[in-house]
Amino acid sequence: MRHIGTLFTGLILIGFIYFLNSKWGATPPLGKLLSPTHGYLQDPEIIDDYQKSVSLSLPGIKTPVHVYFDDRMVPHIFADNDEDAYFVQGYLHAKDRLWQMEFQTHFAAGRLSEIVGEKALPIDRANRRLGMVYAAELSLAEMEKDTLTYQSLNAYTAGVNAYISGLSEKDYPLEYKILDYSPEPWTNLKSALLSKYMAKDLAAYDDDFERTAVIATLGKEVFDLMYPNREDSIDPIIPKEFIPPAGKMIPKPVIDSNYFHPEMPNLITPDKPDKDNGSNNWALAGNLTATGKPILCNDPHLKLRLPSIWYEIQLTTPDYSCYGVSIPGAPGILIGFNQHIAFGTTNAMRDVLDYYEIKFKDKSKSQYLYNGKWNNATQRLEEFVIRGASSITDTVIYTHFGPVVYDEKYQGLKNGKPRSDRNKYYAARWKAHDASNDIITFLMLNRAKNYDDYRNAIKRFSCPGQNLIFASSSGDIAITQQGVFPAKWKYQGEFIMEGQDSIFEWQNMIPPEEILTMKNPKRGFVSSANQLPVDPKDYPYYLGGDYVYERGYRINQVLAKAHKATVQDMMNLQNDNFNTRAHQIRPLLLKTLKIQNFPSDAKEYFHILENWNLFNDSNSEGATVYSLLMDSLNQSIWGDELRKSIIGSLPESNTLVQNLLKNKDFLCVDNIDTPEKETFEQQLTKSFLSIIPELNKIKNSGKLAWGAYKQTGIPHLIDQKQNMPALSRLNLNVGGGEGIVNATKQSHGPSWKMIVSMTSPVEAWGVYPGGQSGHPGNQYYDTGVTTWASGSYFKLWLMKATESNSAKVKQTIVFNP
Amino acid sequence: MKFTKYLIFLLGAILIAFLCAYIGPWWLIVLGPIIFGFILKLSHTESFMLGALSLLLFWGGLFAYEAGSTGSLIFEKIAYLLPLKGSKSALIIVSLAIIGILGGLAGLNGSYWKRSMQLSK
Repeated sequence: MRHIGTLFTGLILIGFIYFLNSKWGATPPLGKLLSPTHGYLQDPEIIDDYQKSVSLSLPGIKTPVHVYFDDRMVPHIFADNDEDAYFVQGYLHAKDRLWQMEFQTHFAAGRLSEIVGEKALPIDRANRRLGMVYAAELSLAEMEKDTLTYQSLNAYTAGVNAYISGLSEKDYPLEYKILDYSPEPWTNLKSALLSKYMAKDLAAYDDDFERTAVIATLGKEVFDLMYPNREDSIDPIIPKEFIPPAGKMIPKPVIDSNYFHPEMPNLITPDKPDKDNGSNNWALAGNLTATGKPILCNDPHLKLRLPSIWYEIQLTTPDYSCYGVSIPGAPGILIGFNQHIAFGTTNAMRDVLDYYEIKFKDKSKSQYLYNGKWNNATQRLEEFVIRGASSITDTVIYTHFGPVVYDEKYQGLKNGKPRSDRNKYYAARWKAHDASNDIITFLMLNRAKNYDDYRNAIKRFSCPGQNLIFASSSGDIAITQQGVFPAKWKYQGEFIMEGQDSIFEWQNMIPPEEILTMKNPKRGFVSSANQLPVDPKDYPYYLGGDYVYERGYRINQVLAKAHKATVQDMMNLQNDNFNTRAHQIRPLLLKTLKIQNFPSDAKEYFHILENWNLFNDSNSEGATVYSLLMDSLNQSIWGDELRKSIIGSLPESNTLVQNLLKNKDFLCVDNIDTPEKETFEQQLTKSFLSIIPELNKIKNSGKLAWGAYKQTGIPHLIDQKQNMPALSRLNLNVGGGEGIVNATKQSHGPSWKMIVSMTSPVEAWGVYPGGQSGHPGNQYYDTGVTTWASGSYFKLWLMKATESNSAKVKQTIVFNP
Repeated sequence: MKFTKYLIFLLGAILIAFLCAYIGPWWLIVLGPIIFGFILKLSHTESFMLGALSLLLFWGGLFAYEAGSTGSLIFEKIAYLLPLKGSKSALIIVSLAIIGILGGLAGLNGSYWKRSMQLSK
């Protein structure tokens, strides 16, 4: 009894420590987080007052490297050799973005469950089933065959690890403390995983199952209306005269019934990338600019997150000096410029992910039928370490196509409905599974001096296919749709294909000499905005993919009128909010709506739509009315068909406009769920009147202006539901939208805007909605957000070594051996 | 005499907390109140209060120092995250309440420990 007090207080004390030291659901370990010696205050990167000069001594550095941080904390690295430059790039990426680098590569590797527990298991399984690690391993082996890439990756990895090894638990970035885990050493494989993370975002959009279901249930006529074959392209990237002579067209097999799948699939690919992952880029020749020198512009449209996917940096060695944005996790600069050239990129949008149905010999799934013989399959055991639960394993079968993504153990369902074809096996053929060294392209572009260097740099780029744009101080401009693309017959890969017969396989890749490229066209500009690369009528290979035409159309329309164009003109174009789609369809909407008998509030919204100037500016009320009306109309027109096809996906939003412009009472306007035949006027009137209560609600809350309604925000990477405002920047008043040059949606859009004038010296402007530091407490966490939201830019500084005493230098770090 | 004991407890516990905080996990700072609750002849209430006060002063002092060197941005963000509606004062109060209870429990435990040792003799 005499020890009972000691025991009791001891147990309470230990219990309380345990409580404060543990993560409980979403609540971080409070003791650890709040402790001033171990918690959020110890992050070394949240200092307010940067020391002017710091000297570090790190094993791995060969000769001293000077890094000058400017007033936005952009590092300007001056090294005597490539390896030191990449070592320091790795170190600085880790210093500013370690948590982001590791989180993104954990995502790509299907390892998020290790950090956040069971709730991440579906996304982890999706990534493992797609073979992300398998793809990264193959590509890494290819990358390491090339001396420059191998040395760069090794130096970069050493730099990241030099930073990590200097950290103790108290120094970990905030997110580690919130989620309660520790960083692990960086590896070259993680950099390869990052390249597959990008490949998934840009070259893995797929709706083969949905399209197969639509054609199986609704027939080809409705299918063609929902997913038109896009032969009415109005302004492709490459005009006809630049299309190289092509090889023989691939003949289409005649056995349609086999690849228009007889049994309707009933699964939905989970975790699709955003359909609008895309970009704008263009380059004007000197004869169209005020300076007489080319101007290159680029703005990639991606998910907007904090920390940003981009990190500004300057890399300078005796051989080159390049400025631009890098991706934390990989060496080099992806979009940028040096004193000789500027380069940028947009997504090619081609379909390089197809599914094949596999027939196994027996339940062991060790052999599958192919061309009348049993081929051996291999197995890959995937282990999922799950925080707070026991690990699980998943055996993924690999065929020569690629991994069997869907089988009886993995359904890929997201709507919880049972899959009728649950014993069918679907293998993925994805271009990103093929070994390739894509990083080398950017390492070489960073050093390029002229057009030949540019072409030489990009020729090895494989996946995700990109429209790589170029301008040089010597006056050249060019664009190339670079990548390794399958040479497809018409409709190949649009639907699930037969895996037993080689005739359905990708027969060949389009030969390198037939890559689409254009140099110095007479019109004086090159551009791309995720539209069709060429008019399909003029090209023998099926293009597949999901393309958008409005941005490219508007850009080309403006550039065609360019005369003595200035940098300000280019900024205006990047921020252009003209709604091309609304320009095309509004006359029909206004003509069709008969408002005489409408209630007064409906008449008021009609007049707002009527008087709208067709710009999705942040203060535009017309843009809000138009957006709600088109969303409602889309659901009215396609909803009945989609209900019948069960898993069919909503067509591209411009599909409705294109169909209505051809025939306003086209087949799908009728609601197949009702006995009567609806007309467009009935459907439009119903849609318009149905949105009035919602519009009244929006108006009464003071959010009828487009910017207030759209509510653009930059959430934190772990805050998909936008409920962590402390780490995010939400409720930004920004115009733009889908299909508009300024492609800013709610949390997706221009992730980096860059304009480079190839004068001497070269001048450039840029901005991204984030900041150099990934540490939420750091003053440079969101430096660029306000500037970005206002449509303004920062002047970019390609610093010379002789400018080290400039007032712009806020801090210097010298890395010594 | 009592005042001297109080002073020894407070200064000693803070000194031990300071040393422990930089060599081990954050919770090692409870050693100070346990040790002084054990070695000094004080009532349970006194040990609890002094344990709480010593760690309160330790964390409070560090908060004041860090607030000066890191700026206030991070306080506000953590206050939103927890969620304390962005109130820095609420964040400090919650932090100090936690450490106060912990320090008090540690002091109390030291005191009980001493009592049970005495009873054993």
